Amino acid sequence: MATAVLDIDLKQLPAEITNLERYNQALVLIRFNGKPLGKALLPVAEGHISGLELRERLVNAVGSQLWEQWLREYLDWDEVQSKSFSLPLATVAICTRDRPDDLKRCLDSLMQLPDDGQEILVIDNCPATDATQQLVINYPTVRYVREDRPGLNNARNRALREARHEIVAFTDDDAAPDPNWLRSLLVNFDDPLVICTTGLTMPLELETEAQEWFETYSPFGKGFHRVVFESAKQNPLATGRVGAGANMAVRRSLLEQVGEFDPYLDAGTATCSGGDHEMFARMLLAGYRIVYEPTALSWHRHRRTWEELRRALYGYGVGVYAFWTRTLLVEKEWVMVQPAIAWFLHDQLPNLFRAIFRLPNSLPLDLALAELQGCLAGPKAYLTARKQSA
Amino acid sequence: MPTVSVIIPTHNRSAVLKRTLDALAQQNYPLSEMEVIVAADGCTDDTSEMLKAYQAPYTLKVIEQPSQGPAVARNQGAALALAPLLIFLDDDIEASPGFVAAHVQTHQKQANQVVLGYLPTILKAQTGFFRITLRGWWEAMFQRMRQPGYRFAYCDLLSGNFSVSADLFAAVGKFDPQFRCHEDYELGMRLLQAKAKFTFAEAAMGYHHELTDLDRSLRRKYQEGKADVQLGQKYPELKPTLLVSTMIARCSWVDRMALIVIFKMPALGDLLAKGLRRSLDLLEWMRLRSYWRTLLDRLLGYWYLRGIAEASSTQQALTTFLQGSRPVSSPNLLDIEIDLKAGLAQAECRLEQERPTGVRLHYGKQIIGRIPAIPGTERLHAAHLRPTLATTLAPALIPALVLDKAVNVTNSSPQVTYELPAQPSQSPELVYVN
Repeated sequence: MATAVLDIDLKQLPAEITNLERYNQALVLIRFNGKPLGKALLPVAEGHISGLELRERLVNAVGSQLWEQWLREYLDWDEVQSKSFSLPLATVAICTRDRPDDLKRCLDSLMQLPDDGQEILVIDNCPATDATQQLVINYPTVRYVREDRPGLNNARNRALREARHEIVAFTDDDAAPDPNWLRSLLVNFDDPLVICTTGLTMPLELETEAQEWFETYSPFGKGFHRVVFESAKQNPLATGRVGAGANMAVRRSLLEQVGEFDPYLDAGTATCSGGDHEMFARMLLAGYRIVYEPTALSWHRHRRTWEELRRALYGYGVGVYAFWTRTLLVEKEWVMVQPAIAWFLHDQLPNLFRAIFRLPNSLPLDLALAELQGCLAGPKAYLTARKQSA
Repeated sequence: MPTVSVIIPTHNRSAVLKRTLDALAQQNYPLSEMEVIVAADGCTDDTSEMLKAYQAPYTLKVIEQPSQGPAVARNQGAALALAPLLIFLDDDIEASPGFVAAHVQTHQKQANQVVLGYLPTILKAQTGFFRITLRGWWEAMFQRMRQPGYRFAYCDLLSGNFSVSADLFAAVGKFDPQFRCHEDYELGMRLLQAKAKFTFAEAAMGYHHELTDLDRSLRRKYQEGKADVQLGQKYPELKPTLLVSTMIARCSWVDRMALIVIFKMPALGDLLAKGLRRSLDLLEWMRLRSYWRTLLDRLLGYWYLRGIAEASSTQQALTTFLQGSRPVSSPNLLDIEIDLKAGLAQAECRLEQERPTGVRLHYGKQIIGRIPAIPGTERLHAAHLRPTLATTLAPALIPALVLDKAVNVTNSSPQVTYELPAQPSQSPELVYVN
């Protein structure tokens, strides 16, 4: 059985939800007047959820936050929105490689954004066919750029150089941003030290077991509270809670102030992932701030098959340790040893232990092993990626 | 007649000053309506020659005085000014083209204002952890002023970039020449007492070419310690807001040891501090950020307390100084009462008109709490209300509103009811930290 993904506003509660025969539970994004406030997992009985149960569960799930939000509306006041700050212009960049079906969904979502003068850029990374280019022709407001050097970070750097506006907002091709996504990211740039903002990513669908596992084990969403990250408060090398490159916006001046994305990291290279987290760490080390903004919502289609999921987790393992290897070799930050060991001892090892003994809520053993294998392969992968490009 | 006078005190920084004058020549404000007054304070370099040769497209006036400090220099400059609006600018600030216009336009919106401009800092002289820390200090100062409903304090007035009407400046009695450091804070205090409204204007922006390094920052902290004693003597009500009060109240063993060393054997203390200063470089080399940060804070604290000790001679004198901080009369007497049931707009209107130091809020018969009087901060006005209600007073306001309106937050019945907190929140009493 699968999990239905629902998007429900407390101001427009449906009397009943039906036609859920395929699902045994539902993951609900709870909004209040459009603003995401929380999420809840509800059981589905005989294909439907009654209005009464829906309301009770959703209201309980958000708790006092609901009343705080209600008060803010009564007062017509909000910490972030009430600033007298005119939003900067932005370029939305989608880095893609041979996934026209996903890209179409992403572009269709972006067409729903209010027009604040943003530019939309598709970076086609080392494509095998011209399907992406043919698709983009149908969207006259979207600019197509081809980047032939493989690697997501090469595509990101190209986007930063091609962008016409001050802020570059990145979305993955397999994500579908909410209409209010871009504005929510941009409003946090009133602080000159904020060089990057990340948003909340919810699953687009949880139709397969692989997708359900992914959402349970490594959800992109980092909660419903706004967080400001800076190196004076957090270890700048533990960037797991910051967010992800699938939903982030950066200042284009990043190139001069922090440097470009490391071309040897992330998808399309031997290191598989880690390019976003490495950049977050470098931003924090350079003294800048990153804001996690939960109202900047995007929906991500997780990998559907078990094999894809296994490879993805392997890739995450490789990416994290490749990122730490880079930090040691390039930034000469030997303090990375501490989070590396901590992550291994407090996260990975217990996970493996639980998986082996099949404790409740443990990860399937093959997934735990895949991630561990990735970790061990990470340092070598970074060196290989550098050698291959040299 | 000029409509705006820009006053720049300077001391032996001819090349830097020239860049500042050049930036003023690029203003999009009518240059014929601008006068620039340079007050050269004890300059021994070629400042005088540079100014004589300088071809300014605006009226440029120069006064030279023997070294008497920036407060006197600014007063001399202001005495020469003909315009109704004075902009005080430091010699190391490169104004953006819209700088003067932004100051002028902000004043046009409302009378009795002090407009504080933005100073993004250009850090070319610094490297490493100190550069990051310094940028953090500067930006934190401006970032707090950007928050909606921020309550400005006397220490938000930075003399490097602010403007005030010539009348108000004269009415409060100019800069106090007794102050060689924090003369801006001192003026800020008198402007607040005169019920001036502080406004942060982001567009009144000038690039601040910061030249200080770590050792100069430490020396500066010593001067700030001395200045804080001076401030506390002049305004006893400010004593609880001074850093020294927080440090003494914290009363950690490090602070206590430091105080003993500072008063009993300052030579040993200085030697130790200089040694620890060297180990900062070692910590940076080892990339131990948090240790570096902690040690720097300790060193800054040491030199600050040294300054405090210098100005108060004995530890007994310091204790007496801090004990004298209890307010003579209760400022609560100036608080007003507002019933929020009459509507938010009306409450805001009263705050705007009466400008109280503090306010007690209730909703019908329910007590909501108070926005207390805080020494050294501006009197309340409309913009302060909603942010406080939405944050600190929310736990009391929500049940009061719910009881009154029987609120239904979702669209369909039955109602979702708000559970009252087990203990009704009391309005916090105004407490002075000694």
